Amino acid sequence: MGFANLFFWFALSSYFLLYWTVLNRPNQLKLRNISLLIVSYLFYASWDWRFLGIILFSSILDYIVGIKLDTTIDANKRKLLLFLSVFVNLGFLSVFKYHNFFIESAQVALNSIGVNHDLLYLNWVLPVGISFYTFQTMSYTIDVYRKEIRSTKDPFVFFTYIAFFPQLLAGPIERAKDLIPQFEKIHVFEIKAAKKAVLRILWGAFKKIVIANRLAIFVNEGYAHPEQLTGLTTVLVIVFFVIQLYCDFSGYCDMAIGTARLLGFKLSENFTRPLLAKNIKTVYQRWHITIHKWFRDYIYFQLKPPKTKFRKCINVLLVFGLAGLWHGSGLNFLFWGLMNGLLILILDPVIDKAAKVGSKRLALIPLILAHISVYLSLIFFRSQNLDHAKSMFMGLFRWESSILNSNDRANILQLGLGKFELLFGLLFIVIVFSVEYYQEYHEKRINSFYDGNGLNRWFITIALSLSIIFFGFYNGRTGANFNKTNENKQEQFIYEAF
Amino acid sequence: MNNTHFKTFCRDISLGLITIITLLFLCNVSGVFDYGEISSKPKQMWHSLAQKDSVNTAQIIFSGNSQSIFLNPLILDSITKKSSRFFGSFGAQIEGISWFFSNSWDYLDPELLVLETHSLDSMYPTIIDSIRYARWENDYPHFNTFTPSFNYIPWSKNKFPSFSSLFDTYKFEFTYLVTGPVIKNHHLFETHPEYFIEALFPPKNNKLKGFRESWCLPISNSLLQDYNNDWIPAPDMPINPKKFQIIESIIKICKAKGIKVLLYESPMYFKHIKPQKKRQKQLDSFCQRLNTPFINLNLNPSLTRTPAYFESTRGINQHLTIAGANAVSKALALAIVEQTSLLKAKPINQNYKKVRD
Repeated sequence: MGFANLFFWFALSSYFLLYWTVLNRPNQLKLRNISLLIVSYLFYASWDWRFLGIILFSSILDYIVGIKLDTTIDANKRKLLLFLSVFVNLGFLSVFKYHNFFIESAQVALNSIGVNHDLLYLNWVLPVGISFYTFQTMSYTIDVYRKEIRSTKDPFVFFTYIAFFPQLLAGPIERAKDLIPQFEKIHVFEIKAAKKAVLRILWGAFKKIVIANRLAIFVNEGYAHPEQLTGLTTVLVIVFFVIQLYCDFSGYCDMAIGTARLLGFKLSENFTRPLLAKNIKTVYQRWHITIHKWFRDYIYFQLKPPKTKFRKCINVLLVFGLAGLWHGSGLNFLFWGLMNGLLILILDPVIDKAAKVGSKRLALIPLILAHISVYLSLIFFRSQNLDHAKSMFMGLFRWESSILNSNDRANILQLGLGKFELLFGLLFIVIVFSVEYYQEYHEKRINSFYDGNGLNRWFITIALSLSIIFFGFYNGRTGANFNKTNENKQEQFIYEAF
Repeated sequence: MNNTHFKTFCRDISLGLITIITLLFLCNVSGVFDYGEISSKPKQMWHSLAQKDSVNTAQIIFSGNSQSIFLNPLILDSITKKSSRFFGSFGAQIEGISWFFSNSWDYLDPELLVLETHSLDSMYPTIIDSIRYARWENDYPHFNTFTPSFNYIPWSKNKFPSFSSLFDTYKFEFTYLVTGPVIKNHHLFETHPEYFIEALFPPKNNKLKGFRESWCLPISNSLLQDYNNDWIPAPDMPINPKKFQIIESIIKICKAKGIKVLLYESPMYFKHIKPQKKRQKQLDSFCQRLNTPFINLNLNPSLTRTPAYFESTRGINQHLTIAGANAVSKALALAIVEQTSLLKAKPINQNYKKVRD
């Protein structure tokens, strides 16, 4: 059960009424937090109850470590406690997520020196959300270690902070100093914020169900048979994947943030229009903001300040390499991370220089180049391995004699979506980016939409709801030209797999 | 907590939900989302009958499901020199077809009935269809153009279904009951806008006469490659003997009315399916016993070996493209003409009723 499940919204509606009428009262704070914890654990258990033990163990360990860190003065003991927390949390992550990657790498290394010994692979299911909540809980212990925050004594507050259901599965990764205080106070129902939250949830659902699920059919079909793609279809697959990934993850985050806001909690923004960014560094300052801030604050800033440019490059590549690996256990993810680090080091100075020296138009060229490079790097992100990525890149060189001949049009329609599904998809993409453009450059107009006439908001809410119903890809809907018998996984959120 | 604000918020949300549910209900009741119905039910047939264009004038009636709906009436008519009409629907099974004909013989008077055999393939009717057919047993067909969709509410005389078991086993059908065809066919705007337009603005002169133009794309290069690699063709698919009982009753009724019957099997690409030996044996012996001609187009290599005639699909059920439908229409029409006894003029039946609103 998750945001894409109707039952979740029925359950949330019931809990919402209970929360605001009974639970969220001054003398019921503990009960409220306990109810949030139970609901969060039920939510997690609905995915796979077997892994509840891991999140519980992690929470208990870090709760105790946090308290001990506050009361321990000895520096070595404090280091040991921190090491214990990081070791256990990363240990869980390593076993479930990276074991086979390490084994494969070791196998390749052993084979290269002539040792042919078969190592043990594990076929364990990855506990959903593990990459997110382990990093969230580690950030707590690190902050307590650094004495940036005091540990929380209330176990229910702490456990709920780790397992808070709106952000449990795929973030945003919240810092303790931002979220824990919100569990320690009673919230006031703000009607304006609640209405904004509903609109935000619908907007997120629109991006996910209408756009991301739709494009997933096209992209999955393209990636399943890269050798069949022409140049034009390869470009479309690449671009559509970027949009699919953005709409999928930002749509999830919108629903998470909106859901939390309905209960009075403010979560961090995780996306601020990254596709309108002016250079690559800004793309990653606006894309999955919380994870990149995590790597910046807990890895990059902890490295020795670089004295040379070379050392700075190494630091950047190290952090991006680790960020790449966080997303997935495979050389293709590592490659993706490193590639983006390189792009920042090489292209960003060019863009910034062009922007300073020349006109805005001159700065556009390296900017477009930068965005194209980021999109191309995502081929590694989406591919199963490096060979698969290579097949996709080869498609870029298969151009027919004329770009828009009938063969190319037929090829596009062979990728699972019908003509009208593609056209409506393009229309909705234009709508999303138009809204983002206004959010970026005409913030006052967006604010006036929220502050002004309620009829506009009413109309938009109904329009979004009906769009999701009539244009959404749900209930196992396949595209008009979908030919595969294999089950299409477009309904699962992409980042839940991390 | 500000109770007034909370109440206002809940009121606004409720109002919004009521608005949306009302709109969905109106869409459901309008019958528009029903129009291209692909579940196994005879609504499509009723639409065709209700259009009244070829009613009582159709000399050859074709019936079946998606395997025969794409035939080209212009080619059929030009070769057979008779007017043809299709009564069927996507996903139609012989039970639904039998029910339809048993309720409409008073309104139809063809010389020949052509049945496609894929409607005999086992797809057990859903609980909803079973309830619906039972309810409609004694109910005359309605020829109004506005057809309310209250049929989806299972107010059966015999049995009220258990909703929990319905939900568990038939989650999709349960959603269908609550929301009607709107949710199930919500994609109609995009996948079949022509259905939507046709439902809103029914054409006065229906040139396709119940048939539909195929939207299937021909077998792709990647599928052709797969056929030569590790493709597992669909197995021999013998027919459930109970289905033969139903079709036998149709044939007997037709014989009594002086209507000839012909069975045919629509072809698929020869590498897509295994040779249907058991199935063919069943059909041959059944048709021989009832002295009914059977044309198996899977034995026609000029059809089965042309990839452009068939849909690019990795599913078992492979449909005809426009080119394929035209070729099959021609082959079938020529076969019908060859069987000259099928097309002898029959005395006019004075007893059939004219269609009324």
